[in-house]
Amino acid sequence: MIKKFQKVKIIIIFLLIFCSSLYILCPTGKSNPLDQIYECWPSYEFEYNQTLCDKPVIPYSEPRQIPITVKAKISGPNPDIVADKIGGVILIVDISIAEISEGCHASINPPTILFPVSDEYVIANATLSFTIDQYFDAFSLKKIKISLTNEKLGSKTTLVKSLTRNFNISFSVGYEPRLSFSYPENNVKSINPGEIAIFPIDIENWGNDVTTVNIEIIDIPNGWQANIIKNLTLSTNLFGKEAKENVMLNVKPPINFGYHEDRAVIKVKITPVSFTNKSFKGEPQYLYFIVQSEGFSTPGFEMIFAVFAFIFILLPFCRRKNIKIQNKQFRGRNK
Amino acid sequence: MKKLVVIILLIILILPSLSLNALSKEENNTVLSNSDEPTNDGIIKNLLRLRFNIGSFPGCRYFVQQLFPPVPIQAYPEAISLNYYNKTYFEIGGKNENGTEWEKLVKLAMGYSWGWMTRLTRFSFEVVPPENSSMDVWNIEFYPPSIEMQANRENMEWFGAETPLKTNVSIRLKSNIDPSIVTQDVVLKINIMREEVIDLLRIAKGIPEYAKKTSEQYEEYIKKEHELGFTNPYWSKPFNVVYGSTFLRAVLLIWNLNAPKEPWVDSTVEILIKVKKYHLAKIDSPISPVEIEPNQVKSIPVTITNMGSHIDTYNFRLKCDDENIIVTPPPALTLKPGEEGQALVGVAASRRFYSADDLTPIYIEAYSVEDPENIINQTIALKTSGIYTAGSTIFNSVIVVITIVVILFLFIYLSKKYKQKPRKIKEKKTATSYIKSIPSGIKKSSNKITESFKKYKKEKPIEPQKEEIIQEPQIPIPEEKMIPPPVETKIDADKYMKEQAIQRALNQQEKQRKKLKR
Repeated sequence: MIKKFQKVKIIIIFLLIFCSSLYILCPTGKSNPLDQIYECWPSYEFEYNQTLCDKPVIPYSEPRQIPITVKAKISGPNPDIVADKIGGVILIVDISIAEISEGCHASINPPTILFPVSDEYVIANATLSFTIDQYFDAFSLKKIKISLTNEKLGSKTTLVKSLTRNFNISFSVGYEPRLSFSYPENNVKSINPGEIAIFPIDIENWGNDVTTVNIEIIDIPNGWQANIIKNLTLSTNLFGKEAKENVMLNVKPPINFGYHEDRAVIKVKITPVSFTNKSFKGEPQYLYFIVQSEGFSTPGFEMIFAVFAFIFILLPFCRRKNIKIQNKQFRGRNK
Repeated sequence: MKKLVVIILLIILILPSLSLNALSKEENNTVLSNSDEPTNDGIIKNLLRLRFNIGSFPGCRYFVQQLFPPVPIQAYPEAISLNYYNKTYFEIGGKNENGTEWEKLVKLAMGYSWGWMTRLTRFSFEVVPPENSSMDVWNIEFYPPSIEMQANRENMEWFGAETPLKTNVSIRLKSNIDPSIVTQDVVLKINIMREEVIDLLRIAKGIPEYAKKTSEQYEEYIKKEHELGFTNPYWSKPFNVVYGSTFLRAVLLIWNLNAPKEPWVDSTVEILIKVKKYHLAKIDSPISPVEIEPNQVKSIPVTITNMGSHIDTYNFRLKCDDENIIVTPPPALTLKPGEEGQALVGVAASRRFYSADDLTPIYIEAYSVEDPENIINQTIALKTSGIYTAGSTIFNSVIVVITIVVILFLFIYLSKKYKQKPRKIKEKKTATSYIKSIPSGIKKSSNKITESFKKYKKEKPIEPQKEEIIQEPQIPIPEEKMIPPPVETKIDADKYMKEQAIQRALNQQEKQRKKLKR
């Protein structure tokens, strides 16, 4: 009886082992723990041209385009088994902009990138384009979050599960110099040679950074003198604060002795430079002023001549008068 | 007995794994670099691999089949810059891996392996309205608006199959009715809509005629599928042919019973549209000509209004036909949209002696510093009139006064000179004749002369000389042609001369007396 029972026991154990083996070997049935052995997920590596991103992006400028390289492979407990079997299948990855700073716009092309399923990195390329259409503080940092989401692979069970990975790209806002000028009085003046023409100039900063304005007088004609403040620093009008300064241009015409009829065009060169980063300069602007000097210029010691002339004219009169008086006195004595 | 059980178990565990592993290697057609490397996997790994390979058979748990690989569709170029009211073009479509050629439409329509199932496959394009912009301002057109393919089961001469998978898009941006609303940069989304007319009857009939190995077109089918990039055409495998002819067509038929009748979104393309600033300005210059005198300097105010879409900086260029006139441009002016600013044009008139209302145009060119090619023109008419002389007004006035005085003096002098000339001649003649006519007795006796003079004086007093001069004729009469004066005048003159002579004689007499007294 006991022997018979042992045989039955052995048969039951054998059947159990056999069925278990069959179950393991035949993967048609649902088996979550075993399915997980084959379940993979994508791994990404994200590369882009950092130099292009380091270059600040000027608001309202042309779109900046940055080539992106995405590397993808499948990872998991047994990626090689999966990759070996379904290597010809394409992993479809949607690449999109997940987040972007306000005032910035970006697109990424192509919107879908394809990777053959592999347990080693496969490369695909895309292009990120972005612009800024608002004025921001120069050199402030903006961010673009790029999202990579793959489609799930597998029909009855998941072989490569859907996963979303995000990558950040940051860039800085460029400096846009923008100055505005106005003349509260005039830009032409007619003066006498001894006078100084004074031109007040209003300078406003509409750039997106505190700006140092370098002022230089160029092409001064011979004999003329002109001076103006060499530089000044202006805050910006863009963010609500008024940034207006008044500078004076003084022009002195030639004062050589004689009659003058001089005319000169005084050219003032104004260059905006970022206060934060001096290497960022704007295009120079030129201001023109016409000064006309007309009249007689005396040497300055003409008064001495005048005094002498006066003396010379008065002296004979005085002498005559004295002689007459003397004559009268003489006649009076004779009588 | 125990040993037998153990052996059986080992055989069960090891043998199938080895055989199936070998089978899986044979079927492996991936491009992985490590596929040729020898594997040192353990038993468990091999078992797992065996299990996965078994599960990868059609209908099994790990079966994955991509009937046709996707074709990524995108915009070319990736981003565009758009000017207001300007038509800008870009393309939407799918290119091959190298990006050199457009893919054929048949590839997107499931290739020659599966495309036959649909009578018509059509792709059309639809713009997704941007979130921050109204569609009223966008005018987007597609050329062609849709691309389609008509397939059949018998052969591969399908209408539209070879058509490049692309469309040209023209885009134009209008300004908003409300000028304060400015269209900013936008990421425009375009949906590629797919529409299929499924032919269930074809599916029920089984695999296409050209895909049967017995068919003459089979080679062409394989070739065309390879050209499309399908390395492994579906009907090239005998199993698939059998499977498709039997079981699969039933599955496909059931599957497609509920196929969508309406177009659906196949993919979405994004394109970054950079809306360029709309640079426009209006310059208001003086309507009537600006008057200026020669050698005068003047500022001419011009008003500039920013009619563009954004804050803008305008710069100026000036041109003048007359090289002698100096013109200086106004400085750069930054204006907000709709803002007005005043710019001063400096003018120094020419130093021409005389200008009689000479009209000279001054051409103003204003341009945005961001778009120097877009120029706004305006003209100022400059009217120069007057006389220019070197020197100041006082200086010139003094000179003019001096000149006038000199001329006046000269005139008076000359006129006097001409007046005195005939009288002197007349005087000489009368005096000499009178002296000759004086009796010699008068000279000797001064007393007698004095008495006669006194008598004469009592009878007629001596008239002043001035009146006599006024009475004389203004125009001197030449000596030769002199007409003798009228009788009365002659007598008066003679009398006068006589008196003069008497006076002179009396004076001499007086002098002699004084001498005698001394």
